[in-house]
Amino acid sequence: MTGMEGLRDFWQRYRRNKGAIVGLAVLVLVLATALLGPTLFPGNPWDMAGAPFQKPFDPEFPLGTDTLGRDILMGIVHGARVSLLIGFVATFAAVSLGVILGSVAGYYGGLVDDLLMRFTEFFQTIPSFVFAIVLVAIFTPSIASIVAAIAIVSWPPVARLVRGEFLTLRTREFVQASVVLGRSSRHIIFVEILPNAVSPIIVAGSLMVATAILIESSLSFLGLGDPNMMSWGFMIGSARTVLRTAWWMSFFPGLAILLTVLALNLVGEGLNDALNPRLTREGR
Amino acid sequence: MQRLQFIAQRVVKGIVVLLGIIILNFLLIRMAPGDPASVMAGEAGAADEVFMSQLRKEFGLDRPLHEQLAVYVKNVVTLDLGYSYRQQRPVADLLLERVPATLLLTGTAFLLSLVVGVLLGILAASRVGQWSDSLVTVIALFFYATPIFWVGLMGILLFSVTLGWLPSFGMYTVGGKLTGAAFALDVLHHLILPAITLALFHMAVYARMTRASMLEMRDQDFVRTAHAKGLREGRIVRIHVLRNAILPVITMAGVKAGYLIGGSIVVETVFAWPGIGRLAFETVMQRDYNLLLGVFILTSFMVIAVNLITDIIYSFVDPRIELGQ
Amino acid sequence: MAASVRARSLLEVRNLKVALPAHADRPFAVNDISFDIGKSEILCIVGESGSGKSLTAAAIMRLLPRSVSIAGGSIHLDGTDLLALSRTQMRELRGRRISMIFQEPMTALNPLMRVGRQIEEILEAHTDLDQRQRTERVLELMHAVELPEPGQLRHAYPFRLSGGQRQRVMIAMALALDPVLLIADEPTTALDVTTQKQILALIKRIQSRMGMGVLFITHDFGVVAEIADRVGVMQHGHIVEMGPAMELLNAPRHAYTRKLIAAVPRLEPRPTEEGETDDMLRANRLSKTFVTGGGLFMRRRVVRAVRDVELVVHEGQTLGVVGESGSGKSTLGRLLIRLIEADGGEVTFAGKDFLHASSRALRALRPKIQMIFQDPYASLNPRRKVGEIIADGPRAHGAARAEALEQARRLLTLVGLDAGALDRYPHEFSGGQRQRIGIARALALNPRMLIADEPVSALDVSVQAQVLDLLNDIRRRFNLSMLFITHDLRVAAQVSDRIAVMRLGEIVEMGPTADIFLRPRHDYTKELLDSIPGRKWVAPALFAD
Repeated sequence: MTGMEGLRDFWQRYRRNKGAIVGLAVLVLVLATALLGPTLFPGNPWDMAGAPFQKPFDPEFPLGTDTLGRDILMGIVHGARVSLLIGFVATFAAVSLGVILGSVAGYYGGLVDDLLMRFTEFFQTIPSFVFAIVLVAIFTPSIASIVAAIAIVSWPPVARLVRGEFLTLRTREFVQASVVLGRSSRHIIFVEILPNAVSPIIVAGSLMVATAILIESSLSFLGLGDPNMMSWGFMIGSARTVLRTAWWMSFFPGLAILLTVLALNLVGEGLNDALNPRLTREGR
Repeated sequence: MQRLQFIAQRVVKGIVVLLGIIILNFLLIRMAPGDPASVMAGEAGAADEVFMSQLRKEFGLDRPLHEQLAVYVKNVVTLDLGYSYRQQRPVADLLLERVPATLLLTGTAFLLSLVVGVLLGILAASRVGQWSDSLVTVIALFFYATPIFWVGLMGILLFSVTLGWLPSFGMYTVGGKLTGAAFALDVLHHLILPAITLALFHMAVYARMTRASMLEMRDQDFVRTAHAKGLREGRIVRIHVLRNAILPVITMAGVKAGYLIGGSIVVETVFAWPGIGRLAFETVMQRDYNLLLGVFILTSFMVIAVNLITDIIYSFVDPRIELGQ
Repeated sequence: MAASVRARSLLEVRNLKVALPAHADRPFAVNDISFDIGKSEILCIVGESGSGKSLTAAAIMRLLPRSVSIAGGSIHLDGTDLLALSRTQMRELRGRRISMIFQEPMTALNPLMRVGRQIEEILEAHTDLDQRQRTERVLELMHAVELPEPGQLRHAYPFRLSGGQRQRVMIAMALALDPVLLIADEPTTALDVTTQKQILALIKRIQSRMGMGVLFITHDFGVVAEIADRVGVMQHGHIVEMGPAMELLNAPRHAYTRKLIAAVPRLEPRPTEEGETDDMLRANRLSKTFVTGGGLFMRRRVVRAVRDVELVVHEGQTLGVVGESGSGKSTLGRLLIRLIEADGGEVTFAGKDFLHASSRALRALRPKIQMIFQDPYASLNPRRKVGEIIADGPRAHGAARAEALEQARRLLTLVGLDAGALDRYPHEFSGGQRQRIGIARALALNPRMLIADEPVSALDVSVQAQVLDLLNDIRRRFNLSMLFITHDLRVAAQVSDRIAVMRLGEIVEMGPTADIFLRPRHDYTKELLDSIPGRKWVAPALFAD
């Protein structure tokens, strides 16, 4: 299932899930906003753009202004970059860590597996959001500390998933055949096992980006965001006190989070249907 | 007998994890940028050099690391979590007085999310492909993607500001001087919005999971056997499909307990609910790290306790448990 | 004429059609079949995988998978039109008038419900018996299917029971309300031969005592010979031949039936190759113990999978290792080739210490001893092309890519596949073809010995015969030594020069094939031989035409 034919197959299966198509469209839109937004809306989102407390649906400020007269649309456009950046980088870090630990545990088994899994369980027991708060608070809020904190609380499920895949694939006969042929561990891990474990990792990763964005927004809502970066969570957090008089300041950034996370989840489900055809709901 | 062994094993495991978290805590203080004493004192100590040296001595910061660790573990185990110089009170006291409010909120949200989520999942699975299934799926998808604090704020906007049905602030009416049943009703009234806010996300999780699990179970061989026996559809779903489908949901509920407590920080902040979560938010605002680490230990302990309870419940539901994990 | 048949028959199936979903390889899984089952008659429907035999059984119960539906025809039970019944009427009929037992006893029972309760449930659903009467009946039924200590066993959960015991529970459930028709869908396929024999005898005994009609689905002509009154042979959704069992088994008329019966391995021990040759592989006191669980409060589970095994494989000869599941035969094969490390003992291969060879020495020896695996769907990496898979061994030992692929091309021809297979992926091939690819992979390193672990047990009988022929052919051509692990004594008789019988990790008897089959000494060997289904039936000498 590789090459052009495999890609076409994959797209055929992905396309069957309508939600996944919508999700992909929204995600592309958000990605485009993150990439091009600052070019289309040049300027500093922190600058006062007009009078404070301007209501939305105004030609100059379609989504209104906030308590300090900052343009909310501009904030959302610039915030897209932060959310996606943190979401993707933290996920990449968490997945990398999870894949390394999980594959070592699953491939070597025995005592190594035991130790690594106790370690993983330990991190899975710690209440993750509280831990993330503690980490960001103690190491002072910055893009780096937020990414690190999210990655540290997110990797255990990936490690368990990858370990499970390795444990089953390791006993598969084609892997045993490779051992009997005299192949090295490196070949077996990277050529025989890992390519067969990639699908569930991709699906888990795409769903994890969504979770990472939710965690980031909660952190910045609590005032633990990077103080130099405009983010959606921060916008809602700072507008919270004026909710009764200025609903739009909290409403629109929240909608941005909702749509982005929803799109990522839909894409994740679509990937799952397309990559693990046996598990699709259609067969039921 | 085997169940007792199983429970004993889980208790020991929980204690080990808790010990690990205490050590992690200790390391976090040491790893933090700057002087541990200033971390513990928070901003309160930053100004006063005499006070800082007094702190260092008190915590044995001039002694070797392993001795410090031993002192720290001993303190925590004896419930001495240090002193909040911001609040001028022992951390343990501050935490304990906040526990009931948080337990009330998270407990209610937990039950609500589990019961409603499972029911919705069953509904969706038994009408798979119909409009009610689609509706449940869409609702679950939405709440699974919505930041919890935003749900809270929108809830306040709708039910408090616009409709005026529910209070948006605190745990009881300030200066209400209510007692007995009237007070309980007042608390309940204040509880509705935060509890639902906290529950919605997890409700979505359990609904999706129950649905998927039911759909998987109804294709199992033993369900085909039940059909071949000529049992009624309702009984097959209730006794054969559901009981097996619920097992992964129980496991998930245990795992998600930590997320529920994490979510309560945000929800308590939004609704000014006087629990541990709200306290955590305040500590962050005031950089009162010693208190924050206390919150961390306490919430970890709560999660471990919930996991233990889930394991015990699981051992009653699944007879195979004695075979090991 | 129709009227007289109607009077005699219990079940009448007429022109039954079962439609497959749109994207399937053919429109109808079952295409226009008709048959009858008389009162107290056992009809066997026999066919290879994909013949539509199991869907026929499910159609009668009206328990088809969601994507499959009945597209035409009629099914009458005792004059009642089953396809005209409402869902409720059909439900009331299931379990009471028609019962069914399935292939997989491990998954057919609810894991969370005590087995007694599961039997009782069917009484609750269809009768007015009170609690005490139900319990009484449950005990009676468990006794009837010869389950030990029903009083205690009824409180056990399914995971406590062996496969055979679970199948007995299924049968007890099926018999609870004295049905007139029992449908058995491959009920003994997942069981060991000795258990299979007991279950077949049980079904036959109960059937004749209660005068039930039985529809028995199987792929195994040995089982057919054991139990059938009449036989129908299915192929691609059609019944191609039908007749009384002895007639059909001994004088099949349809070409497909002839081909199937010709493919059944004859129960005739192969003559042992003459002349003593050198040892190729020798094992002394080989042992392996598995320990699972363990920890502070958990009980350790210790399984002595292989105990003090001694065996010799002579050059150019085949040693068959036979045994039931859990006998340790697969573990033995993996110990010998060092996929699993042994706890103790010696293995000498081609005169060298294989078991204690350093990783460098092992690498040099690996090409000389190769393995063929059981599951054709798991033994090839789905993400690599067939050419790469076959060339993998030579590549691992330093061959140039082009050279290795050229060799792979030659090997494909050798194992009877088109050289165009090189650039295709495993999922494009059938089970038998994949097994050929697996053989080509093993041959690519010019080995002197093969360890074959159940290489044909996942294949249909006609494909099985072809793969066995291929193995025999290459063995002669390259003078290969072979260790052939199998649970099937018919296959073992056909391929082995010598046979080792394993039970509970030990070799209980070893000797030339003819001695084992004609003059078994150990009781267990005798029991195994006695359990071979259809052992009294001598398949006629046929030429598959």
